[in-house]
Amino acid sequence: MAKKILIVDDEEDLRTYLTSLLTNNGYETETAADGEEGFIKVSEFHPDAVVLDIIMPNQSGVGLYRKLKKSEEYKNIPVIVLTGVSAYKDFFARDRGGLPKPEEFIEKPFSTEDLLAKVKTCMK
Amino acid sequence: MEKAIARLICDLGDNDCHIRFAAARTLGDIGADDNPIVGNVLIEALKDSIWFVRLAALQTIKEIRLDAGILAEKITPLLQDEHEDVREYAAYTLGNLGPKAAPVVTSLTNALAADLVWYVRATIAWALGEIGPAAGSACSQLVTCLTDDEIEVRIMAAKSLGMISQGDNREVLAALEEAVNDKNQHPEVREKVRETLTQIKK
Repeated sequence: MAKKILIVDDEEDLRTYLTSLLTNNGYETETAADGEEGFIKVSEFHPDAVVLDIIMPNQSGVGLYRKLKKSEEYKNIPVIVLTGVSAYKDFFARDRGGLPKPEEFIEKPFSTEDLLAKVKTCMK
Repeated sequence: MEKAIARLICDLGDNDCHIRFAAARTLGDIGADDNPIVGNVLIEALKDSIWFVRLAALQTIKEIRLDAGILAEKITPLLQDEHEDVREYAAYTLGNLGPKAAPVVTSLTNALAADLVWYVRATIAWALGEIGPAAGSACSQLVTCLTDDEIEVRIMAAKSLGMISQGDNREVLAALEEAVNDKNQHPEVREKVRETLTQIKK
């Protein structure tokens, strides 16, 4: 059975691209355009991993990420943060006690090889 | 390079918020930190009407060679921002200034008491710990956070109390002792409190 990946990004072109890339590599995908929709899709689609943008309207990626990691039901779903804002790498990496860190971090622009490798790694 | 920086500074005033956002980010990416005008336009961009432009300006401005005291002063109003990501990043930036953010301890303490978003409170508690002993006036509020609804805030409060307080602070010691003996307290919190008590009593 194909592994399921939820893509949460406000850029429609990127959602389309990632859907095509991941589907062609054997994954089943679903998309959401912001954090609020993302959380609804997590509960409906039950993904094996989430590819998550950060700067989005309504609820941002930070908000959705924290909500997932705080949820008993969803905290074990690996999250791959995909952002054009390099400052978030340090922001997430800095140890702040109980605040969890994402499983993977990818900076835009990204290579498809890197993305696919990290998707594969985080679902092992 | 000068032309590119001038263009980006101009773009920070564009009507399109996405262009302003990209300009704020790019100024950080190209390392325009030795241009004196960049600091001023980014300070202005901290007041942008769009939250992600303010956030981008905040993320870039911390890389600029501004005096830490001025930086802390300009960032502090963002602890009251309407968007939680901006508030959290402001607290994170102030925490990264360490003891140099001491002049804004009161603002951080007030924000810790008032913020409704748990991860903003957790990061504010962390920032106070990074300031260290100079954040002594925040101890009472951090003690209050030991009973916060959210575990992450309690853990961070316990950790920061260890970085701020001295062994002679009776209020802190009593609160930590109470937390470590509270069987209803979450095990992770008790563990962190136990570590803090050991650290303070050294």
